[in-house]
Amino acid sequence: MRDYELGLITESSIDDEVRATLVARIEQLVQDRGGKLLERAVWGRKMLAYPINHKTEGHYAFTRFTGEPSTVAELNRILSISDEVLRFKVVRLPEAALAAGKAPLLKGTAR
Amino acid sequence: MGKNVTKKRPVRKESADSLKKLKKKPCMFCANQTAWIDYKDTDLLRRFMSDRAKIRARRVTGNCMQHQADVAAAIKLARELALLPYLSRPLSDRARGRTTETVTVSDVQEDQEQGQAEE
Repeated sequence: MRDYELGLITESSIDDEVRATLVARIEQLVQDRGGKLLERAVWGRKMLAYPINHKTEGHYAFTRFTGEPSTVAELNRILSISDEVLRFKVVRLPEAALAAGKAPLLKGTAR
Repeated sequence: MGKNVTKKRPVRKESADSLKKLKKKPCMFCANQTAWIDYKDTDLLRRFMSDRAKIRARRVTGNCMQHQADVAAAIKLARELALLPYLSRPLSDRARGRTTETVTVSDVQEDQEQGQAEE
């Protein structure tokens, strides 16, 4: 089991319900494979530093979870074929830092 | 006569040594005992970038080798998630950019001069 953090940018124009089902699907996938959800931070609408797919705004959300490397592979597969996802990134977190509470999940201010 | 010369020399050497010590900045992350540099902390990472959004050199930031590498990795990760720009032009540059889209030689020279000024 390893600690990961998923950074997810979805299109800001889509419905909250559509986004909620996507998030629910991701969380279900993590839990089905024996992972545990740790923390969540939703930044909301935020200006992108540069346009992605001709869009200047995105909805930012970050989730921390534990899981096997195969879970990450499956997440990468599913998110890369989801239309509403502008960009995503799964980052492995240093376990020691997390256990010592030295890597708090940053709660950004939504704009 | 001979005594005077021997007295002066060690004083000069000392001042040169203390200058060297003054120049060296302590690594900010080593001082704070940072365990992990967060790629989402854009305010922090921006301090290690120039106004053209380039990553500042270690001799400018004063970071140790390990933490400079960590900062660089965090900035690159933040760029992938569009939290930080890959490049940005300073405001003084933008008006000129509208008339000439291509990067001119003067642009490159200016950039180099700026890099030298940072040192």
